[in-house]
Amino acid sequence: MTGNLVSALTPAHLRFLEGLFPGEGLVTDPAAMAVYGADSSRRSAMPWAVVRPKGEEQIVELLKWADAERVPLVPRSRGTGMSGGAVPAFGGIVVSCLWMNRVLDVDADDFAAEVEPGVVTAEFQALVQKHRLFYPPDPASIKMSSLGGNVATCAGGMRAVKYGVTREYVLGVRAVLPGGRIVNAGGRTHKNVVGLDLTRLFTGSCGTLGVFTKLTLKLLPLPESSATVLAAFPSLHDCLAGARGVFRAGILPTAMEFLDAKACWAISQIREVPWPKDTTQAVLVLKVDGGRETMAAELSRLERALAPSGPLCLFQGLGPEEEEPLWELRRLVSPAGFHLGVDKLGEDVAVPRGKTAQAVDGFQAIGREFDTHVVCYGHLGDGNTHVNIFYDAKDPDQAARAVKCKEAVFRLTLSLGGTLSGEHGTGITKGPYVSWQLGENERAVMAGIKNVFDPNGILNPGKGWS
Amino acid sequence: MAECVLCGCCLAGCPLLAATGREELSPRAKALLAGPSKWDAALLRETDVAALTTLCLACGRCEKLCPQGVKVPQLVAAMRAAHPDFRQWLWKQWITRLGPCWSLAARGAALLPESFVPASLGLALKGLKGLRPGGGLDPWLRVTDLPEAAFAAKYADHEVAVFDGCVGRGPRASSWGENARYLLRELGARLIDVKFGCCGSTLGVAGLPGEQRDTRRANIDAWRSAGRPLLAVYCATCVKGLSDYAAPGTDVTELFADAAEAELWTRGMMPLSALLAGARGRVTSGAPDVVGYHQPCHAAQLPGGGDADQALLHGLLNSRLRAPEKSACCGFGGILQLTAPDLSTRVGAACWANLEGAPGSGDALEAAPASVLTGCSGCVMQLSATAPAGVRVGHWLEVIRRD
Ligand SMILES: Cc1cc2nc3c(=O)[nH]c(=O)nc-3n(C[C@H](O)[C@H](O)[C@H](O)COP(=O)(O)OP(=O)(O)OC[C@H]3O[C@@H](n4cnc5c(N)ncnc54)[C@H](O)[C@@H]3O)c2cc1C
Ligand code: SF4
Ligand code: SF4
Repeated sequence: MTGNLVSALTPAHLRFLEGLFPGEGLVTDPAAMAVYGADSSRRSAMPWAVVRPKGEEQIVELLKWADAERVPLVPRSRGTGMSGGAVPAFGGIVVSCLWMNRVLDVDADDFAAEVEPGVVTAEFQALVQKHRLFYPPDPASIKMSSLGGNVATCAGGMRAVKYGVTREYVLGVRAVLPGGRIVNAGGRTHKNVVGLDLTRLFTGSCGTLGVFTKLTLKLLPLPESSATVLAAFPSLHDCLAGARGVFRAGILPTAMEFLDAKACWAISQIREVPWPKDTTQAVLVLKVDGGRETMAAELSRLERALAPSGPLCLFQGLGPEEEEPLWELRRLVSPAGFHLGVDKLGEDVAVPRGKTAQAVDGFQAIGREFDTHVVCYGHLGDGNTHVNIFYDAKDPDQAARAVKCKEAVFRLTLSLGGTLSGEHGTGITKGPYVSWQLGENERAVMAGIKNVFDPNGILNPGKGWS
Repeated sequence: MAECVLCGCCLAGCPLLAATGREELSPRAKALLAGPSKWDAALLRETDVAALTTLCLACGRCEKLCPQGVKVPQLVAAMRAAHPDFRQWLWKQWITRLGPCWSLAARGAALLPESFVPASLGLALKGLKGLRPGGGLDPWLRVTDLPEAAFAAKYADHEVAVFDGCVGRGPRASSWGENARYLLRELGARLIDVKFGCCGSTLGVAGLPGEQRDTRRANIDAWRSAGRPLLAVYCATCVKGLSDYAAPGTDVTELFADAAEAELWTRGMMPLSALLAGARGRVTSGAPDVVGYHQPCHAAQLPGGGDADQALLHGLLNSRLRAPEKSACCGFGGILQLTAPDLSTRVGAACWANLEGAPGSGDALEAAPASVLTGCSGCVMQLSATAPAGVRVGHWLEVIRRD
């Protein structure tokens, strides 16, 4: 769908942009633009220009103009996406949302907040906490990613097992569509079944349907307290048995994460780890939340539920200060993996929850088959497993094996009834594989929907499923 | 050095990014442009890259957050050093005009008629003037208890030298050195006098590695001739600068006789506030209603972790001390004030907003007679230059009463 788009900016285009984005609002120096062409997928392409709108009016004008001129646009917030969603791989102007970072309203009676897309998620969470309110989605990138990016990717997080993913907290989206049309999807109510659910359509749309200018988010009462248990196991199977034991005991943890042997090793390369290094084959991290008085009791319940599966050691944390170091270890796994290889294919497949053990066994076997480092970790509670394949791209043989490995992982996932991406989205890194999962009819319906929002295909071309 | 993987973990800490919302100023942009995984060079002009990457406060916050061990301030310093135009420009602006050391610079700044100075240097100059005599805080804090026993148990048979660096010898800052010596004597330390020069950290940040090596060598020589005493250091940036002499991963034989001597240096170098840990005090008349604390980016750490200056002041002042939940960079940045005064100013404004938001008092800082204390000479300069009317800034040593 990129056929009718321009292939570069003309001097007249640049003059228009200078007018609409005066001063520091427009960036055209390649050295300054370079970072806007890359994201955490480690893909990169030089933008044609970068603009920094301060408000919706500028975005409306920009989308009117870009649609008429057939100029591709790539929305971008903090550039921590894992699938190249913010990379202008097919050219275009990058629209940075970092100057739209105001929290417009936090309402403790409506349990709702209104924000601009560039607000950093952790800062928002800290702010609503002051009102004794709770915004549960917590991607591992919470301290550096934005709410706009989180909604555009429908980011998942560790608390998804109990609280669900970003989607569950998006009540409304205000977006500007190509041509400058403003769409208000959803609203401030917690229930709403009038018309089609456009809010849900925008959520996870990866900047392909519209540029968000305002998000209305749902809030919960802040749980009084929380507690965390980290347990190490001599085998992955003991670890998974431990997880089953927790559910059987009738406990719905806030978060339930596992790390396989290679993930544990990688973390131990950058931090002091509390588990025995030579015998640990898997680690389970669990969080529960609720009333302050009940937390100590919940901790002993968890400990009892885990005991039959024979943990090597068990650490407890009561309250955020004690818990944080345990969770920090889990959050570090993604970057720590680079100690196994300088290049990475980071997959985030999900399988039906009951198939997790089978899937992880299979992924590790695939790693052995292709003689490649495969690190598995992730959200045990919801079947979403991160499968990171590390290799050295300079060695063509390793690179070829890595790709074969990734394709085998995808095939196994789909054979178990799973999905190629649980939370990172397909972007440019997984785009070519979408047809493995989605049939022709589904893709045709999606293309039709895209066409209604963006008939000329100017928004984030070449991304995802289109 | 480690390679940047573009994870973005460093974004959370960068005061420049926070104050400007310009991603090209982020540590990730610098690592991308200047690091080993350099962008396709054909696209970028070397001078543009150098100009951009050197816009950095050298606060080191990104470095602490990076899981890969990428050291952006080092990349920036190397870029500054490798860029001859920049280096020359800097020499002209700073080293020759104002002198390499803060104290000299402050004296110079006081003499320099304002009309002589290019507008872009205005803020730097104001900061330097802040170090002039008379600009300091009046003493209002009496130290009543010192940890003499703990000190004696550990260091009874050591001699102690105060490291003034280049700051403590300056006109305003003479009270810093005098009060540091007074407190150490009260603590029971056997003081000896050693003349040290600038710690060299600013020279390194400025991309002048040769000059930095020379000052470091001179300091080590002075320490060695004095019989390798313990060093008591009262400027947080000097603590960082001095510990960098023997930082893990550096070839210590370049400066020290051998690894054992480097180890002696590292173990014998103490933040003054860590030596005084646990001290108690009483506020005397003339104390301001509100006392803010500014945590420097390079805050000196206690052996078990935690900001040594803040812990000491908390013990001395209890609830009178008001510190923001999260520290914010003052925007001084060694030389950013010279190279990009507008950026420095914006970071400074964010820092004051953060101090305003500190819990513990409903009053705005300007509303009550207020002082802001800190433990770093660079921060004192920057904050005095950017302080709102009515707020006075100083090193905590200035408020100590000697009776
Ligand atoms: C260390 C690390 C850990 C991570 N952990 C997780 C995790 O646990 N769970 C998870 O889901 N993800 C995770 N991620 C991926 C990433 O953080 C998320 O995808 C995040 O939501 C991206 O937010 P961002 O602000 O960086 O957006 P960007 O990367 O800038 O953009 C992401 C997408 O959103 C679109 N977009 C941005 N702003 C707008 C807007 N205003 N309007 C319309 N579209 C827009 C972009 O076009 C792009 O397609 C992790 C990443 C890293 C580096
Ligand atoms: S040293 Fe400080 S100012 Fe420089 S890039 Fe790192 S965090 Fe930003
Ligand atoms: S410098 Fe470090 S923290 Fe920052 S993006 Fe690169 S690897 Fe990540």
